[in-house]
Amino acid sequence: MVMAPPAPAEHRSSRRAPSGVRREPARRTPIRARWWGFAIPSLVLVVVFFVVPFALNIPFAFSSWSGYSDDIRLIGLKNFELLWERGILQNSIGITVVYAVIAMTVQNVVSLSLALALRTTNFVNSLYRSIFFLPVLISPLAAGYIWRAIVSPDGPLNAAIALAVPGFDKAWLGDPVTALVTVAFVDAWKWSGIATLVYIAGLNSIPSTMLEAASIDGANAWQRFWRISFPLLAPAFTFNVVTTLIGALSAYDVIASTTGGGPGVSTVTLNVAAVQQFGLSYFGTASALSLTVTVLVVVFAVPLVAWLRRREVAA
Amino acid sequence: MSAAIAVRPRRSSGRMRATVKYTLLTLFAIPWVGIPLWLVVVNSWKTQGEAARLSLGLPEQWAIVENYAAVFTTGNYLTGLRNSLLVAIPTIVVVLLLGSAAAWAYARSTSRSFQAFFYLTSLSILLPPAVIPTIFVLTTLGLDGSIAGYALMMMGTRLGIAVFLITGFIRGIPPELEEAAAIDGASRRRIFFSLMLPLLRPVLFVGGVLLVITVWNDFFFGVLLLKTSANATLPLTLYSFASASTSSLRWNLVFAHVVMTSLPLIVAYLVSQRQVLAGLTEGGVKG
Amino acid sequence: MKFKSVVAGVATTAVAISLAACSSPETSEEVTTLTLWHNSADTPAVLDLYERFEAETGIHLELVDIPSDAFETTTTTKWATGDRPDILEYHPTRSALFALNPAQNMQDLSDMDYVAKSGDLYKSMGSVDGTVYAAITGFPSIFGIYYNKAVLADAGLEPPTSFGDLSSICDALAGTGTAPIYESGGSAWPTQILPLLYVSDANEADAYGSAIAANEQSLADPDGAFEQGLEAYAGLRDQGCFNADATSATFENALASVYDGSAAMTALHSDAYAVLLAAAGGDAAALDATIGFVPVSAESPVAAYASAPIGTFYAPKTGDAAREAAAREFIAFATGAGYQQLVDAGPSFPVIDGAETPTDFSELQLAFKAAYDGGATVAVNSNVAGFGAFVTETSKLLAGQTTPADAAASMQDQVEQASVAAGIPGW
Repeated sequence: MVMAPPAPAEHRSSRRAPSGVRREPARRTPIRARWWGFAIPSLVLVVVFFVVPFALNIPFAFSSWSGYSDDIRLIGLKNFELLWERGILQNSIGITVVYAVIAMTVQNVVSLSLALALRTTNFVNSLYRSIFFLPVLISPLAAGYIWRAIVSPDGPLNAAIALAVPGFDKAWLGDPVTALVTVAFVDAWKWSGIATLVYIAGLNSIPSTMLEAASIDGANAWQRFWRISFPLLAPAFTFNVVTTLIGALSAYDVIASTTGGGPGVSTVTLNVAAVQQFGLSYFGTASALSLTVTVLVVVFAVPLVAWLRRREVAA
Repeated sequence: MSAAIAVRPRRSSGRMRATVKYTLLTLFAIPWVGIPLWLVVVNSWKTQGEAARLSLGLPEQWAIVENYAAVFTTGNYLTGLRNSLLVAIPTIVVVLLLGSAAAWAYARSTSRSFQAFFYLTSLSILLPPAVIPTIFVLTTLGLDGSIAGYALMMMGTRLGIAVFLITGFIRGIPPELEEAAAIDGASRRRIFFSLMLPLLRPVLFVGGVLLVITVWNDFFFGVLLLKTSANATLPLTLYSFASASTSSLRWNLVFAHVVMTSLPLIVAYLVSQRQVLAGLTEGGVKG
Repeated sequence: MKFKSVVAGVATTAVAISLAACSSPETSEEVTTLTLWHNSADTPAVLDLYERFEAETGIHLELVDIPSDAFETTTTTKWATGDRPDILEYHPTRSALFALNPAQNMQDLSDMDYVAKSGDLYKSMGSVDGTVYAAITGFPSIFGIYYNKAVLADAGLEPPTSFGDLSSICDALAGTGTAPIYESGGSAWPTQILPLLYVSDANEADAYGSAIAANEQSLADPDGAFEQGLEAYAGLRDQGCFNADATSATFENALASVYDGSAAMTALHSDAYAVLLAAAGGDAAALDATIGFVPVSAESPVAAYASAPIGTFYAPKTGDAAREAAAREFIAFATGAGYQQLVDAGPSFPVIDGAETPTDFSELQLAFKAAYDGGATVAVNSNVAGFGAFVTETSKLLAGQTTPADAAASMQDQVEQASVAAGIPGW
């Protein structure tokens, strides 16, 4: 079988290689040439509709582009200075990071727990998996409207709490801290269903023989989980952490439909801040904020992914 | 032997544990999924005044017909549905097809430039798309404001996740099958369509699910890339509808619209449920 | 240097291409469709205006919905992409207009009939450097205080006439369970109203506003009316005058609360009338019996006003002469032949001479007109560039996330940034 592959290459390539040594180079070029046809269409789309706009955006972040005048000039780091002086840059970076951490934590804790409970594939579990998947199908905008209604001062959440604490009518979206926690929670709520399924896939890919051997050796469920399952869940963990992080960094829809960035500026993430700058017609500073998101992603997400992948290989 | 003895007591305590587990799951599912969805549905049946109270009770005055009718008329639902389908279906088909093709190349080729292309394409998952320059590009191509332009932008920005997932999946497949087919004289194209795509079904389902959810529900780019009301997708019609009156947020109508916007996805999900769950839970995601 | 010109070149080329792409490919003079960006919350009277124009001229108006929730943001962002409608419905205030670069992008409407028939309106609205760009058909929004007649009467209180009155009413109602003033931090924009009202009696003939706009006075002056207004607002907040959920409540809640008596007063504007009427179940008589409207300022009952975006139209330059002419035709219709019916359908008070005032106004609506006629001044933020982010500052002030001094300093910075960008003399 190992000897067979060179034959078809010989078939197709018009170069008749007389000896075994010369066959190798004759094979490599035609195959690579054939791969190009498969890769080009996708590459064209990605380059034209992603890379080019992305590259064009960078100079705008350093320009004075605004709706007030047609004069566009490169002004170095002035946009960033301005955003820093106004406190907009620090505030939105901080809020974005807090939002991402809360969303990541809630989502992964909930979905991992659900995955452990629903890992076996049977009818009942499939039913529950589907139920928990439903929020994933709803648009983030709609999810925001729904939870805005639930946490409103005279909404169901307060009504439930009022059973224990009479007259409870806290405005969850009116307090800077709880507002941020609430919007991050909505984000986590929306995506937990998928993360659960990914964890289930990961759990089911752990050879049961390993777990059986461990329990025979006397390990209890908790130990089995932490020593064996968790490390082997690394790929699923990577996937979920990365997707949550990206989702949180690009948060906009949920915030738009719940707090609009308020109260004050306590839920203004980088994307919300960028849209606000657009609204003021300051397109240069808006692009600067978008560039900041990019930098944050590169600085945090890329090493994170690399580190997580190394953990996967090691495990 | 000792295992057999150990099994029997475990079976009855196992049943109790199962009951406890499912009770806890149900108790969790009620506030987590049940109440939010019930809130949407029941308030979409009420009149505006009643819905404004946002209670979980049944309507005193039923307004199902009026509310849902309003979604179709002033809520521009059918236009939104048509446009969302016009965007979602081509995007999914193109992304999965071209993405698989590219992923196969990236997974099997050892060329360094291909590795670079893979990383570039995967990086596009993390980085935020730049809207305004995209519009410049579309304008140069004469496509700005159109559904076609919007769909192309969706494709370009979504290929990353498809390529990433599918490449990982292919790397986990031993190349023997392809080589055997090549020996038998099959062209690369034939191998791709007859052998690879069927093999890729689990990951294609996963990718398809992720794609359809994000494309169907996109709002931010739609607002900026689609020009006229005739081009609006469902999220845009929802947002317009929700802010369409000088009076307060008409929760009853908004929720009716939310139900109608989510319905196609829910129906599609229910229909393909088994494949979706299978794809996601049985190795669709192999880092 | 070269990079700078390359970037500028790319941007200008892109804008030019998009302008060219936007304009109609037809070479004939026949215009069959015009694109109109309109606020999704247009009143039925305005929507009817569009239909009447279509019936009258056979030109189809392609309406693009701009969600009223994110009205300014959506409009300016679409504008930034080089997208130009044939007709734009937008704010006529100079501060909004500057951000669209009217000299480059808007048609000059100064010679149209309605301009001369609108009194002094265009001295402060819809015009820059004497050139008129906007066509205003709606009566201005009058800012003031809605109050529940019964709540005040039962407590033996007179309606307020100054900020001092607001404070004493607040004291009198303390502990009664009725919120003296309902603030709508959730909707955000209403939080600007009380600080703007404070300044109104210092802004006769827009003297204060013009001084700020020309950099002759600073917003960050601690003795200036603006910062004093922010101090007064913070004072009311600290005094406990606002509702407990002020930072997340919406203006619809505000009106409902004042109507049912759980709040005594709220600071909003006359365009909220439709919502208030809905809260009263459509019963104008019941509404009149329950709610009153008074202007309030620092020392005296002077209202502030600003013309609203609903019913205000611009004709952007699109590069296509036929469509530009058709857009002007629409404006001529809206301010001329079609105007009376627009006014009657509202009903609204006309702002263009020659139109008859309808007679079926409610008491509350007449109170708006009385406040306007009684010496209302232009809201100070209307004609100063860069006031777009004022709403953020007042929201932060309400939430206790900034101080009056910091907010005023920040606004002065923003005004400077915008005025410099717009090339306004004096900066």
